[in-house]
Amino acid sequence: MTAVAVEFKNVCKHFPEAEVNAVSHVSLKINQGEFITILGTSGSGKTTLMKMVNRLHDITSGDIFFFGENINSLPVVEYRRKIGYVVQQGGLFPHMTVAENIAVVPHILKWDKEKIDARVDELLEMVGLKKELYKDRYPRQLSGGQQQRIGIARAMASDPAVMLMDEPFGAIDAITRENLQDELLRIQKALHKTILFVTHDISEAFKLGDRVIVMHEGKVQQFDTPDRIMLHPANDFVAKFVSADDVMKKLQVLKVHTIMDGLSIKTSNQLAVAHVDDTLETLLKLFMTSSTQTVLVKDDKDKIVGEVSWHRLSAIAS
Amino acid sequence: MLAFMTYAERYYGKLIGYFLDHFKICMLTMFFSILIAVPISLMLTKHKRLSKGVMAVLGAIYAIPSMALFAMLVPYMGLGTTTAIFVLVLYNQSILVRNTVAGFDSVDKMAVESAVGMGMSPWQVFSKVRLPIALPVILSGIRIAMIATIGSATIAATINAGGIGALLFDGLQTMNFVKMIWGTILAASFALIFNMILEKLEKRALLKARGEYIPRKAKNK
Repeated sequence: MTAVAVEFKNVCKHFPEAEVNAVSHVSLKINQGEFITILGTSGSGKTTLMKMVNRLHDITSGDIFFFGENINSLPVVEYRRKIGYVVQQGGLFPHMTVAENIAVVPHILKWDKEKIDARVDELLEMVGLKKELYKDRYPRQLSGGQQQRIGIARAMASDPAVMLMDEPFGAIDAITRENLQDELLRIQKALHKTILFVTHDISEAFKLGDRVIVMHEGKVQQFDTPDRIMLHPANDFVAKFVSADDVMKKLQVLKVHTIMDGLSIKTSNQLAVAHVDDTLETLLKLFMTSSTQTVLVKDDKDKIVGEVSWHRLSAIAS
Repeated sequence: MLAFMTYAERYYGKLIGYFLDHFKICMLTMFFSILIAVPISLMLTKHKRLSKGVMAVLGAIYAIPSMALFAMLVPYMGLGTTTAIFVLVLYNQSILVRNTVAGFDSVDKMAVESAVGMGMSPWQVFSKVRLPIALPVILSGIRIAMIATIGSATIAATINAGGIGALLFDGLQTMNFVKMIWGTILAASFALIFNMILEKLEKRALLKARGEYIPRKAKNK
């Protein structure tokens, strides 16, 4: 059984002079190692919900627990050091080099110099930047995508169990964004961080999240896997917001494993093979280019684990 | 010209004395000015609403002619250096607070939020992030205030504060051109030298804040 990393219990946030609660009666549990995306329009309360976790916003009523401990009972500054934090455009310190930026938290924690140096090198490699080239550069000498990579490396410096990310790829061009999303998924798979990731981009939320919190008017509208949100939206708002009745949207969001059947035919090399995590859109292309009635499905270890028939795929449209 | 050199030769001890007195007044003034201006600025950065009112008051003080302010305060505070420094510190607040607030406002909100969110203590956020980024604009204010102080401090001689002003007024009263010229040269070169030094510091702080500073040892590589 996995531990609960973050738990909200009937949490409300009310800003002074606001008419309604920014966050209203939220109760939910986030398990350790889960990648959670928080999806909503601006003003939905998604960022407020996340910033209460590292106490950048104080809770008005209710409680938040961090691995079982009430966060209001912990010393705030020390508590924050256990949580990685990434903001839009990286929020890098312009007067510090890349290495100095990454070393901020280890430095505060008084690690010795060799340990910090080794950690900086390791993190730069992890986010795909050559240490010889980037270590001594300043943020202004980096592209937006590179700055965001450093932002992620900096947040991970002290190896926190939980990471909070506030629309980190919001201001980055589409191609770089795709790359950064893929890298983040790769890092999360390797390190099993618990991530809370705020975004207003539906595709991004569904691509990254193991589960997605859909927020609207301060309330959690639905908290479930992308597949179930798409196939069984909890209410009209969610259905409309994620365009659940749009076939193309479904194809883009749903993964092969949601409609996969067990193997019924003998494995044949002639058949096309898709990956369990491919989108149905990729699967559709495969059907169209291979002109078969059935596509095999493999897992991460290249093992054939199931099949999908054309009939099964076309049923999605109805 | 000859009288001019002879005077320096004969009274160089006196000249140095005037200069050191002036230097002392200016340094004490700047020390207290900064000590007061920084907390006021930090408060105004946090509570924007107060800003307008406080800046208006500081601006009004700045608008009072220095002779008038000196004259007004002498009955209460007496003659001498303390009163002079008090007035000069008051004058500096307008310049220093305006620049210091602008400096702190120029710090990227996202950088500050990151600093807080990643677990820096309030002092660390100030000393490691806000101050180094705001420093060039703050230094620019300090430079302007310093130049103004060096000038205004000469007038403080009228209330017996001493300094280069004493030499100037002395020369003026006795129509001693040599004294006047020496006073002018001392005051002007004092201001020019400090302007240059502070400009250098300001430029260095600017390069650092922007992430463009290259230490000398790296340059020689």
